[in-house]
Amino acid sequence: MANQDDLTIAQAALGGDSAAVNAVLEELPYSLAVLLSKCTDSDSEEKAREIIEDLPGDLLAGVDRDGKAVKLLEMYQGRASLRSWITVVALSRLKSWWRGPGYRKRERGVEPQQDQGVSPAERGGGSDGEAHDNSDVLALLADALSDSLRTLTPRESVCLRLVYLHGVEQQRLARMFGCHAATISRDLEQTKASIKRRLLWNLRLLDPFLEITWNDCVRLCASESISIFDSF
Amino acid sequence: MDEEDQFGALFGFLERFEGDVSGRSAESLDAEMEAKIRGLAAGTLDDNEREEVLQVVSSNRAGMELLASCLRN
Repeated sequence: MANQDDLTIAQAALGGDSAAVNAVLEELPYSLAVLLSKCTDSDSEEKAREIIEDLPGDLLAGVDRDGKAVKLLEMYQGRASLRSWITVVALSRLKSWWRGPGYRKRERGVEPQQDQGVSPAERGGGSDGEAHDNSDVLALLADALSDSLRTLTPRESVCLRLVYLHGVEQQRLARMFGCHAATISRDLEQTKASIKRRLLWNLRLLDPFLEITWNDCVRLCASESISIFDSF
Repeated sequence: MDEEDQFGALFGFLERFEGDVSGRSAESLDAEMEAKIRGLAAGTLDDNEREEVLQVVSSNRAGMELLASCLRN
């Protein structure tokens, strides 16, 4: 894997290795510099610094989910360098904050830089499926979805992929497992509900400011894959 | 888009996006595992064998494709 070294550092940091923790934290000034380069007003700069200051806690201390602390860094899966990934997470948070009503409603005498402060309507959007810049969210979506699927048992994972990726009829699964088709259907429903819940939870962990629905996620997944990691 | 298509889109997205970071190996299967996968599809494995094969198939693309092919035919 291209980013195996970074993945090893992330896993060591999650395990409490102090050198690895420092290596992760040393990436933050770069991320802050990228965020600041996108800002054109003092409020945005302040928010950028706040986002970066919050990241060590989110990355390494975690937040509670069902009684278990989940650390943001657990979402890093080596798709990009650690530096790029942290920067994308931070930038996504800043852009989501820009999209929020608290920022948009203010009167500003400066032209937004890139997509700063541009509302979905101004971008020609309006429906929930168009409220996001694909390139902002796709990489995070892949991480959130992968993590959601990682929690499945082998049987759950195989059944879902067989039915929804390979088009296998549920009746054939019932025959394979020696159970009634209703059992397969019920299990699939429970698994799908679990994935939906966890996917949206994971996205909120990655970007607390991101307002995204299940339908948004589906539309983004159905669109062409775009990686924004190459930008950093 | 109905729910079946929604989850199809999700899995299709991951298949395109994941590349070599998915943890799902593309390694080929040995003859013994191929036979077990065919047995799984036919419903002839005992519980322990079934769990063993499901573990392999869940992390191996070739295994998943073989199982899907057996079940579709």
